[in-house]
Amino acid sequence: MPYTAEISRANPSCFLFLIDQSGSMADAWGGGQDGIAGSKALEVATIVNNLLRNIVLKCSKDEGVRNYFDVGVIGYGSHVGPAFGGTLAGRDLVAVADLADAPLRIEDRTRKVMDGAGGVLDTTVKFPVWFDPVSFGGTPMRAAFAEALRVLRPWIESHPASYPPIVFHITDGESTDGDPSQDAADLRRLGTQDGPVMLFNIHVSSQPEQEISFPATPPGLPDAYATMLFDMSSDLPSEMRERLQMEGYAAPAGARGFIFNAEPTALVNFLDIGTRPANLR
Amino acid sequence: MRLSAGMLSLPKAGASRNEYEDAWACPTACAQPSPPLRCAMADGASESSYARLWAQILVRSFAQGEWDPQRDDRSQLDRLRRRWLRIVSRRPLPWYAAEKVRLGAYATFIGVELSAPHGAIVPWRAAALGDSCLFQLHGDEIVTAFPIASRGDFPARPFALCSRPGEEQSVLAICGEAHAGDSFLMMTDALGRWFLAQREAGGRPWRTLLRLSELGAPAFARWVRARRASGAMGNDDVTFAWLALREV
Repeated sequence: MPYTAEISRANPSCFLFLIDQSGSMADAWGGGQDGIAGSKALEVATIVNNLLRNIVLKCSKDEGVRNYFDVGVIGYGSHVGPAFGGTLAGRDLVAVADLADAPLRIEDRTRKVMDGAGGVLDTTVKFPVWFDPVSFGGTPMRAAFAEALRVLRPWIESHPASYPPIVFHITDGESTDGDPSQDAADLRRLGTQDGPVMLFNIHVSSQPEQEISFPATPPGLPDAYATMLFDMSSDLPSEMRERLQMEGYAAPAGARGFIFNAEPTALVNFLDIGTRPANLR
Repeated sequence: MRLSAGMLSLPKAGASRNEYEDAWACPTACAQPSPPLRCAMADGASESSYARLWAQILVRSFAQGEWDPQRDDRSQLDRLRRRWLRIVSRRPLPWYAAEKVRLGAYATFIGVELSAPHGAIVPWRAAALGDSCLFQLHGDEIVTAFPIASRGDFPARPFALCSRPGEEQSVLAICGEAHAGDSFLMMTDALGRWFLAQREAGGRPWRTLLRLSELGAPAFARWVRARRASGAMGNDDVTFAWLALREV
């Protein structure tokens, strides 16, 4: 049965992010709360930093960070290639323990938490920043998928029994080097013995439409790129849908790995690397 | 009436003994423990940090009578939480470890208390949160399965006690009577799933476990590894404990 391989230090899995850093990402994002929206590039940086933070926290244990995942980030805009900065600059994939120790900076941010007496209070949390917003150049999406293939092929050859890589592609959808559908299909055809590569498309649009997560049918939005990205997204296997449902997503039968104008903060929680309590938020 | 008790355990494959996050406590090491006698088992959740410490604090506090989840107005539990926080905060932590401390450690819990005998009867009560299991064996039959009675009742993600205050979970409780010759079997979820699957298939898995309790740790480890290899048992920390009531 696919997508059942145990994720362990001996048998790690892989996350690869493809992030759109093109000039159009400087436009205003259509999502967000209270009508306050920054640029799409800012939203992409927030999504990536949140997901990386959650991946590190998932692997953090008493003695340090366990290498359950290799993680890579490919940026595409004025150029296409590894997008890590600082001490990780130039590296395709890094072990999650290396990622944990190499953010560009760590900020204090305020979050609301339950106070245990039915109320909510503000608390300060450490928020590592690996990426700042970038928006410059064209949108060579096909080249980005080619780069993803280049990075993932050798990883898969060296991890044939691992839980297959998961690719998060975060974009506003405006490709400038042609239709990437076939390139995305080539990526989804890669896989380990445990199943094909999963491709999630996270669409940050200028359209002020409501958030959509894991739809089973094309969203039918005025943004012409949404349908293309929906079609490029992986079908979610039933095990993954069940996990997403535990995280509060509807994820009906036929759901695709597609998110529109939503922050997929809890997305990495569908992968279990051990017991995850129901009341751990 | 005499009570004998023991425990066998094996860490998850691929993990070291230091990474084992189950815990068990029972004061029967004392020559003549005075009733009530409390034994407890906890299973630290591996997605949380410092869960082994939290599991140990819970079982020891219960066994020593310092914490009773059925009678706690939360002041006892909050005292245990402060103890956990004091220990894990002793040294400076990197951002990810500090955030895991803020999120708290999680552990399932099951505790059983045996009261002083009333003639041939030993009243008992138990409290549980999560999917660690207690079975009462009378003769050659399971007469109590708590809090999970069938294989299908195991949740994919169990509720657990958190070392930080927040959304509190209700503890389930049960009481009953035991007699000389009865045994209580306690086990964490991976073994509990195997146990109930065997029982539902018409087997008598308690016979296997009681035999392993006589053979000891090496035999238990070989047996668990074989079940893991065949897919009959998930790869998780495994803990099995028993309390046997015997006529003197």
